[in-house]
Amino acid sequence: MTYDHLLQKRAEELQEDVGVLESYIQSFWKVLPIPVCSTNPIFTILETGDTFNFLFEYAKDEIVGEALKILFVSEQFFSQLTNQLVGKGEIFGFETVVRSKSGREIIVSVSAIARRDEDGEVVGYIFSLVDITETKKFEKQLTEQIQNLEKFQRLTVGREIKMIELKREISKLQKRGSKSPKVSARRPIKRKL
Amino acid sequence: MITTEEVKAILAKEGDARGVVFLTDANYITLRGQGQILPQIEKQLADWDIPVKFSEIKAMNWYPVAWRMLSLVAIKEVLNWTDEDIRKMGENAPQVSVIVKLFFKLFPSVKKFAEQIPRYWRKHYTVGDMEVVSVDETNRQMLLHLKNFNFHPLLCKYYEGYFARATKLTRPVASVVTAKENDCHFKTGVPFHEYQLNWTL
Amino acid sequence: MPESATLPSATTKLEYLRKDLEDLRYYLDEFSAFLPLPVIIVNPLGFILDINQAFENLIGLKKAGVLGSTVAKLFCEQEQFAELEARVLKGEVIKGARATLLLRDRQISRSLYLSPRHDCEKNIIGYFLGIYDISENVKLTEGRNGTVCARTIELEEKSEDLLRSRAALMNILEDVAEEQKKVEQERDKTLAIIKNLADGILIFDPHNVLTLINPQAKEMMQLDESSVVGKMAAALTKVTNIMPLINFLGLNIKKVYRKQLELKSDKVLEISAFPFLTGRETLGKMVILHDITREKAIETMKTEFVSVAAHQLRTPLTTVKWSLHLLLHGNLGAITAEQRDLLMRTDEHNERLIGLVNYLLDVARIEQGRFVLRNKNVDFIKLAETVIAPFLEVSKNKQLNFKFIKPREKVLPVNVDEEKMVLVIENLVDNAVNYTPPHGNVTVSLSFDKAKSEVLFTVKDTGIGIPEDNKQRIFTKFYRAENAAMASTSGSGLGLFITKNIIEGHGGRIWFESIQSKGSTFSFTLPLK
Repeated sequence: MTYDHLLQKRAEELQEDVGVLESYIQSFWKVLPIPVCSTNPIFTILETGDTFNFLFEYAKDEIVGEALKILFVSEQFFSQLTNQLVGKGEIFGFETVVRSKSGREIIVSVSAIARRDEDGEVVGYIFSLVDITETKKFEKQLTEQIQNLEKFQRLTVGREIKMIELKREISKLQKRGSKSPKVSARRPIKRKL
Repeated sequence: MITTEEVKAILAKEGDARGVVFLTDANYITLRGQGQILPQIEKQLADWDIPVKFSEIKAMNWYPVAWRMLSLVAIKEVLNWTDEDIRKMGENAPQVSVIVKLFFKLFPSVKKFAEQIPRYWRKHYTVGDMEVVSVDETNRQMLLHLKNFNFHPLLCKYYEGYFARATKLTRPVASVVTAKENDCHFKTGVPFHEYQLNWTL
Repeated sequence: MPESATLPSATTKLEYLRKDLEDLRYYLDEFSAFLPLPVIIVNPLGFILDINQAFENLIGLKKAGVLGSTVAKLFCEQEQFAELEARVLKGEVIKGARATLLLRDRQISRSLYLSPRHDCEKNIIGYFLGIYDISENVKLTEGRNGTVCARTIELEEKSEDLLRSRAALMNILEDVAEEQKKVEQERDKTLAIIKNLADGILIFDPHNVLTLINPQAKEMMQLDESSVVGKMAAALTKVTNIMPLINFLGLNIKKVYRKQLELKSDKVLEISAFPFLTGRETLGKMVILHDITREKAIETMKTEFVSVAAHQLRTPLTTVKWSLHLLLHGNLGAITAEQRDLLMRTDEHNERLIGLVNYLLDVARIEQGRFVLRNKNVDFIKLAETVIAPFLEVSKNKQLNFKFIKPREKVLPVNVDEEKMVLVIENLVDNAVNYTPPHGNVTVSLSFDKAKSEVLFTVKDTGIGIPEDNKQRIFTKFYRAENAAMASTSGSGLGLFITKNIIEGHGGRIWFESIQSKGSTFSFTLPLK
């Protein structure tokens, strides 16, 4: 085999590797069960995963090229989040409310990381927005349930104490009632006939 | 309609293009609701001895740039599109291109972005050279020269759309970016294609 | 004709590809490192091909320690996992399957996501396994569930306790209801008695608010219940028909025992008022109104009758007396000794009758309120001496030891009705002399108490005394103690009644001490003016 052929073969192998890797990356975007998107350094959406599209009810071509902030209910929060991301290069577990295409509000936990080139320059960000709406609802329900139980406990304890006091009162009355009240007059009422 | 001689002439040109260019075209055609026409385009290409099956194209692989060129021609003829449609297809490409997503560094600084342009070109093509002639941030204008890449005037329209959208990916969403070919080898015989890009804040 | 300036050589292409590969790997590593979701890449035989940073963090192992091992061994539920694996390798995407991950030192619950991997020819070449970290949720749920359970148990216990208390309380309440019923019945009975009593009853509460007036009281005073019940005594003074009663009792409803109150000319009531208590607690005051109008009328009629009868009797008795005296003095001729004896006895009886008639007239006057005192300043010592003098002789005849002890110093005059005082002293000394057997003692003493500003007169004897059960009635009209009646048939039973009225009419007091068969001491005081 000539050198050129060897090189050609090597090139083919590398090409295959590149194809596999690219496919691998594409698969990640497709199969990731958590909503993920990548943005450019100024937070324009460049790529979204299928789960992301499903959650936000957008087709990929609708959302790619749009500003990520349109998904956030609070612009102020988005600014805070991105400032921190820009400053630290990563954020984890920021809870906030986002909005789907139909206006449905979703509570999410946001994590993000900066992508950098070989010179350390930020070339973009990857975001994950995990839907925690159900968890929050459940948490709220549990909290309410516990609050109700605690309220009930306070009421019953309070009532219990009242009942104990009532018991005491009734016992006292009982004792009183068992001795018939004697009406004593200073002078006997007598009448001579 | 392209002639057989023209096809042969194009096929004789050397150079490779990334498979992604076919995929982005197919994506746009499907977006336009004409995905069912793709087999007809493939048939046209097959008639020209170009064995392109869009579903089998791999984004990262290299294919003869002539195939890419003729695929554009086939698309225009089969779909009866105008040059404007081709420009729009070019505009769609950066948005869906895996090369853009994986390899482009979309710096917010136009100057920095401009520095990457020749590299981006090389990611797509093994022939031709992209040169950034000037970047005027004050007037928000950039001039590009595409040299040694004279396959078919249809590509000029395609790149107007492509360069505009690729640059827009570095700008704020509200920013409007336009690109137009100021000078064309096919029109004036200059040894380049000059593209002027303008953007708003 | 090639127009491109550069045509890549095989070497250059190789360089391109290497760069591509490098870039892609870099991208993948970056992505993999960032992903907060632990991900495992598994081949079709179930071996771990790759894991990301999040998974390394989760299991606490580096990639090298995990790659190549069977993924199923990471989970407790290996059989179940094998089933999931089989399904995903057939092309199914599985979301949310629960499994327990085995770590070195513990087990943690996780939710799994499995998705097949395909090659270019769409062949399944393995699968992605994403592992949801739901430990926080589970912890939260378990923690909250734990709290809820604990609180529920606590509440259940408290509820049971409350139920028991409730049952006990219900029993108590039933008993109380029974008692209450009984008390109500008693109360109703009492109210019925009060309502049906012949006497009028008014009940005041401790704050002198009239709370009850029975029908008889309403009728006696011609009152409407609503105009008086619930009002304080002070407010009742403004109600015409009850005003005399309130004025009589005072705003504090003073204690009174059988005092008469003339409401109108045709209504005389005997009033008694007293507090009624339970133990030490004053529940209120009760006022009893006894209508004695009829009795008063009868008494008045009786008194009037007696007065008329006495007056009618006095005249013939006086005539008889004169006639007897004429005969005794021989004004109508000489009489024999036998005749004299008879006449003298008749005179004695006549005198007694006259005395009785006088007493009756006095009593009538007292009861009619006509027993008027004609007071003047009197030397009481001299008065007493004058009255006592005749009794000295009688005592001597009866062999009684009679003494009169009088004060030595000069005393102030006493403002009294002299005639009535004579009656009093006479009555007391006469009783003492009469009812003391021979050889007994009768001591009369008179003293002045400057501090109390009163005269004290005492008659002490060693006579028959008064039986205990007779003492209460000794000052009542026509009453004679049993032993006195047996000892002497004479005696009207009016003397002490009149004496008491005279002394009390002067603002004095009269009382006695006596032991049957031992003697009695009668005392009275008179205020010095």
